[in-house]
Amino acid sequence: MTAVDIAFEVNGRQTTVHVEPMRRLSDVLRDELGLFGTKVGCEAGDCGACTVRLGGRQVESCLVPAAQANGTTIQTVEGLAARDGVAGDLQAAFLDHGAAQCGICTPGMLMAAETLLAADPNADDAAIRDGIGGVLCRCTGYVKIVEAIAATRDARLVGAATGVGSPVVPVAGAAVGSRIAKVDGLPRVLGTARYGADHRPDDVLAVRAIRSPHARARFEIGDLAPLRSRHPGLVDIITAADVPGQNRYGIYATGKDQPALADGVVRHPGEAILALVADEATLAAIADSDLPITWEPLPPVRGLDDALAAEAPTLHDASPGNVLIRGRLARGDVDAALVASHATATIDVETTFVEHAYIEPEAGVARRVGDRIELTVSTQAPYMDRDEVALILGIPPADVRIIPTACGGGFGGKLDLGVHALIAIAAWRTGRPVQAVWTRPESMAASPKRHPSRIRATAGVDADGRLTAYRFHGDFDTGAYASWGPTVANRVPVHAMGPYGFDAVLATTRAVYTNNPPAGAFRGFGVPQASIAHEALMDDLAAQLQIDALEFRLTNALRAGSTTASGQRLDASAGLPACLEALRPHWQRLRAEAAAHNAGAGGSGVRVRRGVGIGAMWYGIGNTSMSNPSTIEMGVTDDARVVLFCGAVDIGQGASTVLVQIAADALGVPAGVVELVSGDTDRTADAGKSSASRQTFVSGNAARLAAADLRRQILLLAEVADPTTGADAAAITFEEGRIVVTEPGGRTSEIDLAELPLVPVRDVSAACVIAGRGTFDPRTTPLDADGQGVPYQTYAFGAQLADVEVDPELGTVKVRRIVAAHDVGRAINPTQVEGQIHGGIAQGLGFALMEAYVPGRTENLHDYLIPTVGDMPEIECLLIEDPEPSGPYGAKGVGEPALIPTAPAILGAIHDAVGVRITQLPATPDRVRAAILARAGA
Amino acid sequence: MPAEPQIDVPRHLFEAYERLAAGPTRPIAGGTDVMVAITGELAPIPERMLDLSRIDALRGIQLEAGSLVLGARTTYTEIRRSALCREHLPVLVEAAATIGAAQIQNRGTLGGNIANASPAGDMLPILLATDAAILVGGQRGEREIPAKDFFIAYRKTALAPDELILHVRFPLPPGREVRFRKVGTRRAQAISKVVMALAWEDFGSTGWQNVRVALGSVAATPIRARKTELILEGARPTPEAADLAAEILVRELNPIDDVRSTADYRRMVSARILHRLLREAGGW
Repeated sequence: MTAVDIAFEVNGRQTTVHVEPMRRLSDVLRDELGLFGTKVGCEAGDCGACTVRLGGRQVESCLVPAAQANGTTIQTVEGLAARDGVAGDLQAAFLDHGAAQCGICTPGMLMAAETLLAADPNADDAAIRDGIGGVLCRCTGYVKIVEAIAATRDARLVGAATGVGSPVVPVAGAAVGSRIAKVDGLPRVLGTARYGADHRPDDVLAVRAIRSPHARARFEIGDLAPLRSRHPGLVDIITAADVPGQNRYGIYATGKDQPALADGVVRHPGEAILALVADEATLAAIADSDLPITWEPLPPVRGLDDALAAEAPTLHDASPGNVLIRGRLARGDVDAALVASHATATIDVETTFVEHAYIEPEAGVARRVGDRIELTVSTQAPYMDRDEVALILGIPPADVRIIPTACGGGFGGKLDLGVHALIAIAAWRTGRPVQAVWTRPESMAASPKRHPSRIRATAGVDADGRLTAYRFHGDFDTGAYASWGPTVANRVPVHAMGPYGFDAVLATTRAVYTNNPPAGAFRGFGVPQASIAHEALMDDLAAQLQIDALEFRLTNALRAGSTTASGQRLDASAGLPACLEALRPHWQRLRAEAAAHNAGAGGSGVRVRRGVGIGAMWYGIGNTSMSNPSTIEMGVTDDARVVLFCGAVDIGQGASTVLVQIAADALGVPAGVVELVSGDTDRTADAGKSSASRQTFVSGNAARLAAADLRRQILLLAEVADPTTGADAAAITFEEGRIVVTEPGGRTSEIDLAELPLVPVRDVSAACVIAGRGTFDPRTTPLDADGQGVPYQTYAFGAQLADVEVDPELGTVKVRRIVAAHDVGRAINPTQVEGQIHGGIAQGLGFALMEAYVPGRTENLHDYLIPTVGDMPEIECLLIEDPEPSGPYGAKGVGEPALIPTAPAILGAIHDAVGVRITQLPATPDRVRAAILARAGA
Repeated sequence: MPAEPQIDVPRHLFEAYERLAAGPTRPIAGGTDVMVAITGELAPIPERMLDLSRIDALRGIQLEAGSLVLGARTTYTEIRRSALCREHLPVLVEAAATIGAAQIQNRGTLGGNIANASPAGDMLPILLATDAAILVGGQRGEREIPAKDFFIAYRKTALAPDELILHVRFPLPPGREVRFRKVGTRRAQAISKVVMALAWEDFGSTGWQNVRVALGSVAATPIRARKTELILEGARPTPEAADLAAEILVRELNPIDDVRSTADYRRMVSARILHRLLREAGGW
């Protein structure tokens, strides 16, 4: 196809590009003009990440062929800056309000909002929601985005030129607890942050995986020579036999069962069997059907029933019967306790695959540097990636460098290898940089999901309303490979009974192999599925005893002094009672409003019914009964810069900001002084993975310890009498080439940094002259065969109310309001805590009402639905701070906890409204309607 | 990563007709369907494209001899903002506002929605319910195709390969009312599970005349429910008529199960929507 000249104005500058006329405008902006602020999330007009302003209107640039841009005027996110590197007012508002988390949707959101406000300066909040309705965000729940746009509108209406917010700049020692803007936020709102797909070296090659159309099959690859001769541009063809190291990887040392390229057998649709390496044009000219592959399809194991059937084929030799792993917790005599109970309730629950649907598909680039390999890649777990890539290449881990890009959403999905294996192998073999950017369908076919589950649970209660016993069994479809299946199988039994005290518990789980895509880590590791059961049972038992559902939970809530089902005594920071008490007035008011609505005089039309439900949760912070240390370094350079070398990856949740706040206070300097080096495995120590809600608690402690160590050394050099003195006792300030320490009595001393020798830190380029180091590993113990022990050092607690409206004829559910109370120990940054809660609620709402991934059938964002701004309720956050003594400044975690109670609360509210308990998720309109009909017919 | 097709960008209809007559060519207007399809995952990529975005003859919203006429390139945003639509056929405005979100509404066109002929196409039941006619043209001349004859099979239309959709004519008979309803899982950017348009003419004493019940997402094409229409013809929107019409509609429809919904649900919801529209019309 012939390229033509296309001329348009972009961000005020006339531009001509020479491109194929059907090229997507999004590609033209990125590849031809280097305007990487425009993001690509789906190439199907579903996600809105590529939204730009064209001729005064917002359009998705992926749907605009270059030919149609000819003669137009275009504005991209880069055109919103006040000047180079300085945020415009809307961008500043996003930063101040915490409206950008991972930031991948932010450019699209900004362009939608800017277009809206330009056309309608008085846009009310409903118009704002309508205007951004086409841009999907998976992090924020849209709440702070709407707030930021509304604030910009208000500021513009009164003529405020800039500064619609008031950026929080706390003094030394006051960072913890303050709402400072994300330390890595400015590039995200400017559109200059580089994500996985935004790193393109000049001579880069692309790698394209050829994927299985079959769920289960044997295959043979024929003679590849004709393909090579037909396509001389092909630089390399890689098969399983070409994997330099071990062609089996996986999260657990004992569960390395996943090949980088399938070796004669495929176990799920979309599994990679072969990789082509070439320039993009060469790859584009090769159809899958050009490849000499002979398939022998086999009957697939499609789900739990197939996998557990007596005649089921064994998918992995190491796991006869297809059970990957079992989990178990046993305490007391459950059978006896249930028999002795005054009342019992039983429920069967079924949940399905849920897709992470981060707006940034997996992407990255690998370079071979001598005998080392460097991956610049979007990830949640750089050190795990390092070890896995080393294994696959057959080289020492020290010879692998992982440089995390800005991460456009993870939620657990970027804890597994994505593009890593194939770009690494291709770069290793060819010596050229190799990039891979998964398409949306590819991402949805090949990336891990939330485990589908099938749960049966029974709970008992005595005549006084005290819980007696809980029996639980859950089977989890772990898909074709182990991934994080063992984590789910082990975490669920600990949490299965919910945040309540029972005398007797028996909780068992199985993770089961099938021919579905691998199920892995997804915000909560199976606990959200289990919570559907325990919360429904709480409602049921409370109703049987005619006790208010909130009071029933309060009576039975774990609290300081309680002993958990795994035999662990909770000494402190178990704030569920405080959460429930904070919710009580909301509960009573919303229940009364719903009852009044439902009792209201008939009038014309079908009346929607309202209902209010409650969900409570607990969640152990960090890995289950396993060491998961974080190490962080903090140094002062010879030119008096303060640097935090932090291996914890910020995937949008705000870890970088929280860790800077903690380190700043522990050192005794303003947060703005602290520079951050993030994630690079050559420059930072291992701070573990961004998962299990562990970064604030575990890495936060490491950051606190590192900063305290640095402070002690500075005070030693300043010859302060007590170098262990706290941050309020002696002031540390940095001036050109020196540190000045001022003691309370007025004594000052100076440290001339030029006189100090360099000290080693992991970052050899850092030129540090003083360095502190902190390591923290939560105190846990192994669990015995009955799951008894100390699985986690601390737990998050929370509860949410949902106020919903159900149309009983159509089965549609609208969530009107969520009130969320979470015990976070200490809110290091309340804006970010709220952002996590909002985003968790959005994902919980999707889990409850609409999200269902069907392998091979919903691999796009119009058949797989995630909540839009129009689906989100009003949200009120109540932050409970019951300090965790072992936490940094008392903090725990909130990332996963925020999601867990949402779906149970919504399902309880549906039950309250129309009397049906939905036990198969999601509660789509057809299921709700069918349940209503079944009840009416019963 | 498909190869890029050739594209022509005519300014006049006769040039477009020439291209279409010369061989297989895929027209593109707002691109909201074509640009999704060109990944090559759904169907082979067309070799030649015809960009309609410079042809002004395909634009405009006008009143002509008792009809509202919309150019094929009319976008949903233009419909939403059109005073003429709002005055003469407000149901178009209502429906346009439910399609995609702002970006799609800014680019997607009425002609594209018709040519794409998705069974879930949100505007299409309105065309059926209002007895709209689709004017198509090519080198062989122009012809008007009634909407009821246009959608012949799953994503197949009466449009010949050498023809373009030029405009859509909505007759505006006096006394006619039209209603629209859409049900989806999501509250914005929803793909419909069921979409319905109901039209009738009411002159008082004779009961409803020329009743049309048209639906999307319940069959391979947008359809009219003719048995249900017959039940309502000459009737009044009473509770009894609504009950009967809903019952007939349930029996008349034969939808499928798919990832978006179940057949039972689509049948039932169609009936409940019709019931509601009748109740609202009857004011009971």
